[in-house]
Amino acid sequence: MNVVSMVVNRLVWFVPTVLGLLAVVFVLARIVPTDPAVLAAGENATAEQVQEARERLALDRPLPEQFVEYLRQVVQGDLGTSFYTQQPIVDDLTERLPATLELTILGVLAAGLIGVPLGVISGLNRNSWLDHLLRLVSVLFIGVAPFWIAMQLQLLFSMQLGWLPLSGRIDDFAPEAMTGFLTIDALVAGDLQNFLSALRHIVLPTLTLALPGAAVIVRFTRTSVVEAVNSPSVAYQTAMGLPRRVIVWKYILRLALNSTVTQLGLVFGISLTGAVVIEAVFEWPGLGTYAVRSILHSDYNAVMGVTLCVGVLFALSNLLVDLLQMAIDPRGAT
Amino acid sequence: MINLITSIVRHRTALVGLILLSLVVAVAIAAPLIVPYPEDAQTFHIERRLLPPSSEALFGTDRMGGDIFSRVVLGARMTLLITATVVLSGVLIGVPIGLVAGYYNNGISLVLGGGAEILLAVPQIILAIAITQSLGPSIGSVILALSVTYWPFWARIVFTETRSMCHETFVESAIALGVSAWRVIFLHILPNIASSIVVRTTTAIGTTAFASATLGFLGLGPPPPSPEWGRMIAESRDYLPDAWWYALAPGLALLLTVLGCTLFGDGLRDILDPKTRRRG
Amino acid sequence: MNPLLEIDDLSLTFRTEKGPAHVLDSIDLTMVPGEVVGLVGESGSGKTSLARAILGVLPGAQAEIASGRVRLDGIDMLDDGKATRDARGRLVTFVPQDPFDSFNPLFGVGTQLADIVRYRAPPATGHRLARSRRAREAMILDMLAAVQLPASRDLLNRYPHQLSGGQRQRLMIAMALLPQPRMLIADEPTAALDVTVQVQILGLLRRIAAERTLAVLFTTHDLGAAWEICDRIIVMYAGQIAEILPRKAFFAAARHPYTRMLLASLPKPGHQAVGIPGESASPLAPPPGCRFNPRCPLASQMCRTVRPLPSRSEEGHLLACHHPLPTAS
Ligand SMILES: Nc1ncnc2c1ncn2[C@@H]1O[C@H](COP(=O)(O)OP(=O)(O)OP(=O)(O)O)[C@@H](O)[C@H]1O
Ligand code: SF4
Ligand SMILES: [Mg+2]
Repeated sequence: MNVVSMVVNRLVWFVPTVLGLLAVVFVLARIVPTDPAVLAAGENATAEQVQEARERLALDRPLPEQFVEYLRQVVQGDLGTSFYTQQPIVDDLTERLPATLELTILGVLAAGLIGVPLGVISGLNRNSWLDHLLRLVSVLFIGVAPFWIAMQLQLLFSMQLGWLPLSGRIDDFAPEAMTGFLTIDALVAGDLQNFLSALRHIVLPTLTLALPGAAVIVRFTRTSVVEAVNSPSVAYQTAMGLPRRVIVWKYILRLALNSTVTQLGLVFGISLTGAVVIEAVFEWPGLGTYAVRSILHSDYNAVMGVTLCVGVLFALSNLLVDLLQMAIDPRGAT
Repeated sequence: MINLITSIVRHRTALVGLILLSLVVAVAIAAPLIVPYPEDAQTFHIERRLLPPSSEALFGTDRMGGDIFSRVVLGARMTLLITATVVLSGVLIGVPIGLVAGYYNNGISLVLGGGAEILLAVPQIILAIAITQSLGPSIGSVILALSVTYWPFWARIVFTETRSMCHETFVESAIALGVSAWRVIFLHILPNIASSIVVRTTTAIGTTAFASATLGFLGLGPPPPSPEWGRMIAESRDYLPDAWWYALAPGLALLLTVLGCTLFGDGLRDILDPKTRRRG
Repeated sequence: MNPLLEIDDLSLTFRTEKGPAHVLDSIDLTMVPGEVVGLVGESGSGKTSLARAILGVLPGAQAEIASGRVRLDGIDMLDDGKATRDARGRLVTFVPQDPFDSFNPLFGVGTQLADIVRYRAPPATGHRLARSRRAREAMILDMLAAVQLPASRDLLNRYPHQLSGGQRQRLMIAMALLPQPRMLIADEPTAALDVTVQVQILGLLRRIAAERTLAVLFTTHDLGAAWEICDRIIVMYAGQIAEILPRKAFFAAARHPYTRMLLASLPKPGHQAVGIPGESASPLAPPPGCRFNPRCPLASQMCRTVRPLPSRSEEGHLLACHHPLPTAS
């Protein structure tokens, strides 16, 4: 399979999946006990105002019709207006997407940087005490709830030691947005103070996300390394007397990394799921807090918009992982 | 069966996992009998609120003066009830759908498989939050929300395994001999993929316990004063850093539960999966 | 001629979950330079284990040498010292059964050949320094020609999955020859190939062995293949040597009941191949005495208690049987 046909294949599947997803959320939003027209009209609206809002938002028409109308707007890039922020949802999302992306990307990177080396160490020293220790620690980190880790980290590093800020993304005003990644923007602007502030704010949330991800990567890398160590090609190279260091650092590592990459999509999924909850704990102004808040306020346009956005993120990350895999595995390239 | 039991007992990881898991279940069942303050699930003792751990209250007391240890143990019942129901319905919905979608290659399988993929297209927790919010916070809505959103995990794995089973010679020849679809599915395919389902289910117990605690943490679980772990952890946030003990016990309880499932699942996979076994 | 390989009384046990498996039992074998020896036996008879013992790559955690030694050009191959490590992949090299799995799928074959040259080939004559990239490549291209592959860079840039089974096995042979070894162990090198390619590869091995006075130990299930290219054939049963025959005597002079049954089971034109009745002896609980006794029609009380010692019946013909059959015809 070549790159183009893979991307096309993904796209062909993506459209019906997203349509289905939107339909599910659409129905969900409509069984909410609160009347969206009341929400839209505002708190002190009169009966006429509510009725007027109902008609304006086409809430009096049959559901399928409303759904088709919604899709028509989505295709035109209009996701509607949030009842809560009174802003176009597209604006809300573009404002919040970078925060979540910055967090998850850093989280996945950190998970990889922690997880891969430890997994390699574990796999190469199978059944040593170090291996047992690393396995124990990783299984522990898979077992703890991210929101609980988050709170323990806050308790220790922010409240007791006072080293890192408790919540938020930055102390001062954000630097001029270019990428929306505050750390990068501040760096580009040459604003060291803001950069450090952004950095200090992102440490704990990143760590919270990275720890379970790293645990998954450690386990997976270990398995891949063990598999590679026991692979016939390594047995052959050993029988041919190639130096162990060459076998390990060139051949085994490459085999193991190849299969670890396949797990990146999973880790990204874990991180994004984690972010939904973690953001609430750290008051991180990203998609996760937005999603939770929109759901809690029955802000159904916002819920649909954020679901769509996360669905696209998920699909994109899977696509990227597939492309990466193709790029590094010669067998995928033909 | 006897074989399986002896392998589990011999397999250290599986054994530790099983012991942890049984411990949690046993504690949950016997909860009202073993906790020091069984009435603390519902009643307040304002005079005892926010006390640090002591010999009377092993893990301290909460904002209502409830003994946290008692409440966590009593909360195990709720977690167990939610988890067991969700996992059971996940299996009951997901496995048949996966079998049918994997065995047939027609419109029905497309719809079923597509349905599963739709629900897997965003983090489960987002959909679960939306459903619980629509239904209002209660045990029932948590169970319903998680059941509706978690079955695709079973459907997907059963689907993939069934598809590959369909290319096995013994299945192909059974089909060629005109054996009915139901017989092929239940007599030839299901027994061969049962071990993957079991492994998947074991780890799913942990995931579900996580998810239900997450809903509780966001305030969508059973309403207060129910001793739900996630909610207890969330409550503690208002009393940090002084009441550092507040979130300790519920967090550890959740950890032990998930740990038990992960270890037991790992062990079972080793034991049941001949591929890894051969590798030694 | 001085022997190149000397195996004395080698007994090998694997620790397994079900107890010790006695995989090799008191194996004696010598080979001289340039000799091509076939090792024939059913699956599980211990051919690969013997090959691994000679290469010194038995799995350390399970394998236990119960007795004996393996010396290659005087070097103890069961040792773990520097001399042994140097000998492996230099003095003795290896052609595996499955050339597909034995390549690392993620590197071009050229890289994998180059690493063999770099780390295993003897230094170029007159040079103490490592070869340049160029020199390595030249050496590899020469070797490609020797194994009858197109001597092209294009081939070297390919990945294992982009080559045919025959090409891969030729490359494996090339890799085994690059270190200029004195002995080559080929463990069922043609098992994964189709018949025409098998014949070509065997011919290639035979020719190369003759040209380079290379000793070859060649394991196979296939009596016919062994007979094609070997000077001597060793018949192994359940970890014991049953009979060693010179090539010319193989069909005519075989006297061990097991060898005769193997010969009788060869597929004849118009007939189906017939197996030997009964199951191969389990190394976990090998029958005492001659391990073949449960399946041997001639087995006597003695066979069930006393192990038959190998004795030389004629020049180059060794036989381990209490009741050998008379030579055919
Ligand atoms: N690492 C090991 N641990 C335990 N037992 C082993 C191990 N390797 C081989 N054996 C056992 O040793 C015996 C001989 O195996 P070996 O692979 O040497 O036979 P073989 O003659 O090469 O067979 P085949 O023709 O199938 O390749 C078998 O019974 C096998 O099960
Ligand atoms: S020694 Fe006895 S049992 Fe063994 S082959 Fe000879 S006759 Fe048969
Ligand atoms: Mg073998």
